[in-house]
Amino acid sequence: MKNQSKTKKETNSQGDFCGQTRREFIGNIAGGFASLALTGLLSTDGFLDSQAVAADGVTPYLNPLTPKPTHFAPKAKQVIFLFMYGGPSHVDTFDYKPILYKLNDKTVQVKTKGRGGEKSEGRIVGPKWDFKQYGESGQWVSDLFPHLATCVDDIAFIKSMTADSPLHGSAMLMMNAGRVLSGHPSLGSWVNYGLGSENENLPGYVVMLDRKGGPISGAKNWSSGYMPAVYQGTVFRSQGAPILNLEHTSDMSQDEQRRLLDYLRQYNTTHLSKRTDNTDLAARISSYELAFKMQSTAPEAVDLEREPEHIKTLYGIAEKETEEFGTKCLLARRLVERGVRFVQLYSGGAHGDDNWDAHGDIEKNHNKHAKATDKPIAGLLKDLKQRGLLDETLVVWGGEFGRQPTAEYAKGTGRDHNSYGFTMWMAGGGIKGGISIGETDELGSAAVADPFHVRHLHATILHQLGVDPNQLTYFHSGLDQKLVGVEGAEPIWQVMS
Amino acid sequence: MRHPHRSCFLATVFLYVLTSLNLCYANDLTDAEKIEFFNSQVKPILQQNCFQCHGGGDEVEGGLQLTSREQILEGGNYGPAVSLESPADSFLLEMIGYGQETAQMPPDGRLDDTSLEILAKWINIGLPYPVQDSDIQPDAKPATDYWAYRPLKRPQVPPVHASDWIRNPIDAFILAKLEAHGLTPAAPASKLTLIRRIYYDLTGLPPSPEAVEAFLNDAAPDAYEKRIDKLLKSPRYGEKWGRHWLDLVRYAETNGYERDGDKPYVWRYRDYVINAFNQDKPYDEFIKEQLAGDELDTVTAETIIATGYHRLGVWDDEPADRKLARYDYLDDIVSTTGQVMLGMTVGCARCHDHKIDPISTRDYYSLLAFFHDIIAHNRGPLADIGTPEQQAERDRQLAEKRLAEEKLQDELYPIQERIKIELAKVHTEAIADNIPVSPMRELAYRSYRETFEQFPNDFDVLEPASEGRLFNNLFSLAPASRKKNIGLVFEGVLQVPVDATYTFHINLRGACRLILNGYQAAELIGARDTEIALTHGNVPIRLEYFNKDLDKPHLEVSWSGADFERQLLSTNAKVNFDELLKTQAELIETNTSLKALVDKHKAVKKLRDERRRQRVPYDHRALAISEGEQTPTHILRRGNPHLIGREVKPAFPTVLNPAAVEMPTVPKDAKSSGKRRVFAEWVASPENPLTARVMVNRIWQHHFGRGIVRSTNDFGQFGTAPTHPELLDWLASEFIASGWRLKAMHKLIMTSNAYRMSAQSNPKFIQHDANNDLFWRFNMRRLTAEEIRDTVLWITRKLNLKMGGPSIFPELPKEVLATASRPGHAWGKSPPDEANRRSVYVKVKRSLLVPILNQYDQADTDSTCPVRFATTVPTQSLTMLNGKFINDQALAFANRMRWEGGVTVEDRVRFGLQLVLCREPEPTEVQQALTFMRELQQHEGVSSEVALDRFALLALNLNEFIFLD
Repeated sequence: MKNQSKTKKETNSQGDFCGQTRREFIGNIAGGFASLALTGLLSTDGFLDSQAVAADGVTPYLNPLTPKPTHFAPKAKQVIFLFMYGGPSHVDTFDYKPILYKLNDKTVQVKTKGRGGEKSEGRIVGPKWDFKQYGESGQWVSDLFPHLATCVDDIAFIKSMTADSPLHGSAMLMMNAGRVLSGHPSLGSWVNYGLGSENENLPGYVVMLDRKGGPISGAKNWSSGYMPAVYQGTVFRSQGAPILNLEHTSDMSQDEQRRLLDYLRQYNTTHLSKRTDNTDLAARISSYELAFKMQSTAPEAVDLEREPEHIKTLYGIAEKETEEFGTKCLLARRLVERGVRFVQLYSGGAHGDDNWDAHGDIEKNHNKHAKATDKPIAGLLKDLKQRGLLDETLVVWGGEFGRQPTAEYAKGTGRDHNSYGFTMWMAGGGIKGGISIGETDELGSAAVADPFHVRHLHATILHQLGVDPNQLTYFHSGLDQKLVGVEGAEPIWQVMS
Repeated sequence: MRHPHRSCFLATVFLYVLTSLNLCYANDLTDAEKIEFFNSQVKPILQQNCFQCHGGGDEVEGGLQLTSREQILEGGNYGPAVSLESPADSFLLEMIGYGQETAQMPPDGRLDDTSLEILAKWINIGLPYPVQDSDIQPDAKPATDYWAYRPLKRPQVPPVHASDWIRNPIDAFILAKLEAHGLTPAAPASKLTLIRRIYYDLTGLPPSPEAVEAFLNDAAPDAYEKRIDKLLKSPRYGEKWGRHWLDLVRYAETNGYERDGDKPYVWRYRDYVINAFNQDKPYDEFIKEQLAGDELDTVTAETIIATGYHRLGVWDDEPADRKLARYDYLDDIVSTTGQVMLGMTVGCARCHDHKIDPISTRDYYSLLAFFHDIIAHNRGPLADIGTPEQQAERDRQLAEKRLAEEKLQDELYPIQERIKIELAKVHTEAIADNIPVSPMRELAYRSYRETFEQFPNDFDVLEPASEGRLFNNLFSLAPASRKKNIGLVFEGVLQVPVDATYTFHINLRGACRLILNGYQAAELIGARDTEIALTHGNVPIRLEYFNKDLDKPHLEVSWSGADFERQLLSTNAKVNFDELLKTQAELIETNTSLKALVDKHKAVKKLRDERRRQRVPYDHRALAISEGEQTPTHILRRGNPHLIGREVKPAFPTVLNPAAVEMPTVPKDAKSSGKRRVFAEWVASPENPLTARVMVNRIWQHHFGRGIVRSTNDFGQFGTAPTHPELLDWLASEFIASGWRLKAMHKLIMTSNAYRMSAQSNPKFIQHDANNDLFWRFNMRRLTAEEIRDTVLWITRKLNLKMGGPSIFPELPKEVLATASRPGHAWGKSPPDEANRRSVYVKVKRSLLVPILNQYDQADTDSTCPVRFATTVPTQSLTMLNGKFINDQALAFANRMRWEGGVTVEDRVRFGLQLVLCREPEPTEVQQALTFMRELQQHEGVSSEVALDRFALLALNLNEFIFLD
């Protein structure tokens, strides 16, 4: 009995002290598992060798972006997270609730919680779009997404998502970093920490924002929290130089810069010759060469001139409404093709109706944002598929929460936030297409069948990448921290093919 | 903790027990038999199922020990485990009975029925438990044997062989270990290396070429000590070492989350920290001021500012669960304090007992109890820290401003009334709307503004502040430009319809006189009806109103007569004058006299509004804390604020064998309980085994690149053991003996030979001890983010050494600003010289990071940062090659070389290298630069001027510039 008890405790407290700690994890890498490690310039240049220690002062801090072995064979190699910032309404998009049309403008008893606080009744706003079934699998999609509707057989809809907060500030942090509390590393940081990057000429974690502005809390949404800054998201722009400081200053030619770097290397090599044991010095010398290479590889990665017209048309780049998100989707494809591990695209930025936060007029708001994203996203899925990339690319769609079936105000069609139940979908990367799992109640106000938490979504993403979400830990503040929380979370097995 | 279904469930269990066991044991068994029953039947069950978690070892789950009768009766976090008065109600029985989903023990399966019967019987016979049972005492070492919790004792300085290397006892501790491993200390570092090392370590800035030269030429035996003394006196010292503390307390100037709002005056805390280091404030005082600056014997502006410590963390202004958010806030304080001041990761015990350190959930909530009644963040006060003189000056300015505003208002009102009168001549109904028709005519007012002691007998001898006609011919307080200390005199004629007796109804706050026909009809305070006989026709009417100090003055006058009901003689109606002007705009445009009046009105109103907007500057405020109502602290099960457990009192962690907490008796009118002071005094006590050890370890860390305990925030068993435990204890003893003075410790450490070693490697030793655990050489380090930015500015002579005050905003690339949700409002703008102040004064905004600081691993601001990362990635190189900041600075650097470096290119290059490297460059290094520049000119076609600019950029990218030997 005593032994049983011990075993159970170990399982429960994975990552606390019985589970594999960061130290052991690193130890394992150092000790072997080299089979999956991709040898790139990182190792040949001796880039990023042993560097200092982690913030706890304990963890040896090795090669932060070297590709690392997965826990098991991955289904997906990279992730594209389409973040519908502001919170799209599930009952107007994918969660078909016929009764809502009939109840339009009727006041019903329903428990809701949003920015307007907790309410026990509200006036139903009937969905403003018709739903139809699409594909062989007959998935329900509203008229908001005519293009995406043609892709549903590749999509798994999770219609019973829940989150801890119905307020943007904390809900954004939860969807991006698993907690309502600020200070934790974001999903992309965990992915890069756990898997490393396959292309040292590009960042491993790219974020593309809306041209209207960043989401609220700005950089916190792609922060590496208590992990080193190397794991934080790099903001890529869809116009101009993609990365900050990528272009050399206007008056210096590339040849001049090359010459400067050659002389810099001479000085630094002389300096190193008396300090050969210091790998940081060598790493810094290499980092200049990598930076020089990035100056040519990164613009190439974002050079859409190399794409044929029919591809640009597929993403809607020629049309005014879809140009911005289409460009970002096409860039995302080019980036994952080049080994970028985690790409996050924001639809919507800043505040109010510049994103999906439809408090005033659901029709106007959602027509605008759905129009801007429908064709680009469908284009992305189709393009990935035709290139055979969809199999290894996990595409995730959703906002930080959904919206209420009832109206926020006495007049109008605006809906308040809803974290009791909402829809997200996944495609590619080992996801079973043409299915819907979980359900909200008949009004769509709360998840009732198979509810899933954001932690389960995160666990699923990590799992598809070959990482055990309950084993991926980082030692901080006396604890082996996990993206999915101390108590751990199971992936959503039902969506896996 | 009581469960709702408990009684029902217990009834079943107990019935079961009753039927299966004979109930008479309590009387039947002798003491010896009871002990025998325990030993033979109960103990095996406990040993097999319970002791692993409740057996007195390091892991005591739920605070419940089952290792003695007393402890069982005392119980754990959720109350006594056994009730002797009512055995059936014992919590223990409920747990093992598995009736509740959330309270089931043992966790991996219900005990068999026989075991349940035995335990029920054990409780029923009075819980017999042998006093000394060695089998039961856990074999784990008592926690006080753990090195970090042991009382501090000054160790003997160890003997060494190579005693000529010993400059102070630190060297003996280091050398003894080296000798034990057959290693020898590295050669002393050169004077050049040393001067750069001590400048950066103490000030975060390099020595000037002059300082280097002076040091090289100073042959005095105390040349080195003198330099250290000088640097310790430099204000730059506080800026460098204050920053280490700011890292620990996760200093930031905004709250994070959606709005990421500013923390007002938080920079005063930053300045407090910098000053504390510069003044060499004893560390124990430093701690006490931050934890309890509002509760000390002498409370000053400084100690109040210090309590800003409690307000530095993230704060969500609209959390999904307010109760949880409150405990998140308190947890942030407890966890940060535990790690920073005690090296204890107490935060781990918030939801469950610490998995490895002997810290229970009960310990955690007992610690939290010290902070429990801090006023909630959103209502937390901004303390007024002004001196009485400053406060008086503010009051004077406020009064002055108010008066000026009133004077303008006095000018404004009569114009308004005149405009209305003029308008009414042309267009009556437009303005008469909603205003009762008055029986008075020609009503004029005079308004007095004085500090009346009493109702003036004769207003007519006083000078009115303003006067004019009243458009609607009704009494009103509107003409007065303030509420208190006013006098108003109204004069006009009352149209009396017939000869009769009339009743005047007066209701007011203040005092008034009513004079009709020259006779005083009434003088009153409050409400009164006055009857008076009047003859028909126009009767002169006069009303005098007076109000000395009422916040809500009021005046209501009406009259009634035989053939009419009450008719108002006063009004409180507020006319929207601006609206009136808008609706009558056309009319006004066509009427010259009206237009002139309206223009005058506009001009005066503009002046008044400007006055009104003018703020009386008063910056003597600080972000501080205070305490509210005293409320009990409870243990929260699994950290959930909705699952309330047993009440706890403030107490220190039991593992440290602390004295019992004695709460001070505070005067009834005290603003706080003094709890935090009790805690602060315990932390800052020489008897506390952790405080001094933790702090000297940090001092060591920032001189040697790592702590003697590498995990400087965690002295627990998850952390790393000290590589030199005796040295740590010796330093801690010295620290306390020095009066907790940091500067004495710096001097001690920096004058050791250990600190003066070279960083030069030794192929043999590196095989033996690659991590340099033994300190056989000095550790090289990369400059910190702040050192890099500050040094670049220093080299270009742009560094502005102004200290203190509100934070500054260096220019950010627009690409970075675009990441904010309100790109135009996210960042401020400082004038160039302000923007070039030291990095410790750069605004710390949680949602927007300054690229060069962020990329070079500045501290994360959401949790305590004990050790900075030192990463190397290509994006840093991009910033240092292509960024605007570095390129602007490279140009300035090139200019400095031109102006100060001499006439020839060679001299300029030599001068530049000297600044960057803090040494005279080798001739080959100068030659290399000249070749580089010549090639640029020959092959890339750039001018000689541009070539020097390029060289300046190159120099700022050198490894030698960014690494310290």
